[in-house]
Amino acid sequence: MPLLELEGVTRRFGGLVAVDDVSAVVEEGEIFGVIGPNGAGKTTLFSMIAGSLRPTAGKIRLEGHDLAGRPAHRVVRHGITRTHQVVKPFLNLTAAENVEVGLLFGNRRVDDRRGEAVALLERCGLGAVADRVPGELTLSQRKRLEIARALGTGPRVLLLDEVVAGLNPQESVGLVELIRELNREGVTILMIEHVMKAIMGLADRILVLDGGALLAQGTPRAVSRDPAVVEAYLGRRAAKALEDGGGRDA
Amino acid sequence: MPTEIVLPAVVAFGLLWLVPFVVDVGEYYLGLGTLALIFVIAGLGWNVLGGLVGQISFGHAVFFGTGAYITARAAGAGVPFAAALVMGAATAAVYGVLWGYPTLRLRGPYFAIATIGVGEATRIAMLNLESFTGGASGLQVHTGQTSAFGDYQLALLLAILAFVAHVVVQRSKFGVGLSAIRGDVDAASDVGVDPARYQVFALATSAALVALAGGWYARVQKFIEPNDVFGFELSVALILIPLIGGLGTLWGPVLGAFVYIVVQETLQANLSAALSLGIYGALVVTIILVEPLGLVGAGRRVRRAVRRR
Amino acid sequence: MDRALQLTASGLLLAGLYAMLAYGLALVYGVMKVVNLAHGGTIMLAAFFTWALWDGLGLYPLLGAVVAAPVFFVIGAALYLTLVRRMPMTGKGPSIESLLLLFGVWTIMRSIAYLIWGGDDHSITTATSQARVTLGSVSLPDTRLIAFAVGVLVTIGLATLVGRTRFGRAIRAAAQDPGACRLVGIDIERINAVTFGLAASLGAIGGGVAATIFAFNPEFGAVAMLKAFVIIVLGGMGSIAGVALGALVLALTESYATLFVESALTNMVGFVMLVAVLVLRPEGLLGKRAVR
Repeated sequence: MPLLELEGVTRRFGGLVAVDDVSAVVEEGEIFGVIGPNGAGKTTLFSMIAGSLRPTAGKIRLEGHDLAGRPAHRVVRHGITRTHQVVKPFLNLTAAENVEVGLLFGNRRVDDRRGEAVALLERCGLGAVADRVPGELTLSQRKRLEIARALGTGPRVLLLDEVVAGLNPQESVGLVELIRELNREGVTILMIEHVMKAIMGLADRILVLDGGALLAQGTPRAVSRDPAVVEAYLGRRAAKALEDGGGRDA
Repeated sequence: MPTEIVLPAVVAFGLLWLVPFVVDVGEYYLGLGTLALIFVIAGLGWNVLGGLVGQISFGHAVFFGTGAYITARAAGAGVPFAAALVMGAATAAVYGVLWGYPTLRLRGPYFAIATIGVGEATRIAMLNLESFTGGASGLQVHTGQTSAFGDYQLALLLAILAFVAHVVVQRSKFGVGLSAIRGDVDAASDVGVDPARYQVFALATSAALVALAGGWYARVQKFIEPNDVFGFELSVALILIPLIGGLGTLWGPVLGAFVYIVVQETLQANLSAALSLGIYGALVVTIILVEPLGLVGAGRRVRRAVRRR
Repeated sequence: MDRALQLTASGLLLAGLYAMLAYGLALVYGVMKVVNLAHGGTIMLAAFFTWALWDGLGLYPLLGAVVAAPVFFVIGAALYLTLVRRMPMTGKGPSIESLLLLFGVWTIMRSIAYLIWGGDDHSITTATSQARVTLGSVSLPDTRLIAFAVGVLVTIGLATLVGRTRFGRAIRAAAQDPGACRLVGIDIERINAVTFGLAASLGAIGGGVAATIFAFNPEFGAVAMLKAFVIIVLGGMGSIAGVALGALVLALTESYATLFVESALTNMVGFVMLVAVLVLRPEGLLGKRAVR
């Protein structure tokens, strides 16, 4: 049985179809990439998997259990959690306390929460800033904090929404390495990525969305050779990149 | 409960308990002390929602008024006073859940505006429900024999109860969830906190505490009217108290209530009510711009400065 | 039938005044996401200002409201530059404490009014205050017709300013994305100061005109502002058309409500609507649901 299975997942906002009948299968232990141009519905898809948005139609199964429409705080208990493209730390709490919230409310039972929180922060390269508040951290550190907090909930599936966006190349490399390590330790990872190079080297398989619909699915090699992808996605991206000089993600 | 809370609490509440035994403060000041304690309870209650969750309510007088009227009516009908208080608190909690469940999904200014609507709608309704509230001419409260001294000591007991409730909420898993919601409601639900349930519980707790204060207010004032106990001015006082003392802090509402009563009395006795209004306004502006954590924040600064020496 | 016609006509006229009271609140929220709790204070002070000009100098109240506009523009802009600018901010906009800052300003404004004019009700009565225009079965007071006319003029003026001028383009841009504005060299601080000033002068015209219809005291702003809240919430917090529609819905509802509930309860109708709309359609009557 696949770990995570999407079947005909659809989300409409009024007349607009943000995600249109997307089906996919994610195997345990995979790094599964989700790519597509702006407005392709990537984040909407993630929000539905994580439970912060109710699908209009379709099924989202974790080991056969349909979780579609369950609220985020329930989905966490099943082992699915996410990070946000624009990080959302608890600004009123220290880094360690941020992680402790995850430990307290997730699906793990931990006796020494403080110790485990610090251990997780160290795991994510934040051991030195455990008692700082997020306002004092760099963007790269806040992205790592968000991952550490998510890990606190004990996820089997971790959804990462553009974690390397906004980071410099050196920071990106470090974060990609962290993701690879977490994956090796057994966490299945779904990641939205805009930086094509990062995801091509990292993901086992990739799903391409365009205009809310599934355009292609497969290994990075296969996807990057798919004529539909080259034409609709890479072609347009390249053209757009020339047009606005690199492009800023909204 | 850790010593850094217990020790100052024992000292502070112990002193408040001892003072009227040691000094003959007289009935007037005893009454003032009781009023301050009532505002300690209500301020702590407001703080559970406004401070711990960060949902600013401009309508908490609805709970004060509910507590005051239900308690007064029940006591008037022969229910023992303690039971009447509990009835008031329970009714307020239910009322809070009723309007809190839909409105607490709103955030920031939207929730605050909704509470203004709830507060004013309730006040107008109560003003017109003359058979229950007495309308604009108010209601005499019949409580049987009471003494200023006993009312003060019992108010102190209720204040200690409210203080303990605040500590328990703050330090429990519930409180951690509330501070996560305060930090970021989306992120809170992503790590497993149920924002709807937690916020509604916080509002119910908050409502019950404020209603206790309202019930005791009815007892000591002996007379209540809707424009007073359901009024916008009172809702504002319930914000001012934790704000002066320190939003979201444990000691904020306690300190704030005493400062509020002292300022209220000295200003209104020696200056005009109009001027005291201006001073409150200036105080609010200054606190927000200079020290958003009020007296507690200022105290922390001083302590840090002293330690650095 | 006649009664319904009369209620519709008076509701319509009231809407013109209500819209004027709400534009300032909507403008400040739209541009800087600040809920200006001092707006009611502005409305109330402008009512007294207009009264003082009429009472002291014998100035025709409508002219008084016109004079109030530039005076309160300066007050509003000064308020922004001295206080609002320093407000605590979070990543998502002004922090919740900022609500309380402007609430403090409102409190100070009430205190000023009490100190100067006392707590008694004031009203402006001129020779024409009681005059009415009768059209068939419908009879309407002159003051309300004038208030409606001013409301229409203000609406047209504001729509032109926001829709057709460079300043309008700048504030629309600032409302969309302040960060991007800074990047392309638009001075956000200046836009905000002018917006705050403009909002105050709109509130001042509304307050001045309201003074010709209603009795007022230092607490007058509370009711006016709460109505303004209902309106901008109905209108979806931000567009001129939304505010105008919101004002119409509130005024007509209040007007018709007199058929069904005691007059003491008509004010409650607005508040219940406020909560209901916030809960059921937080994006307003015209708004689209946000796409995430």
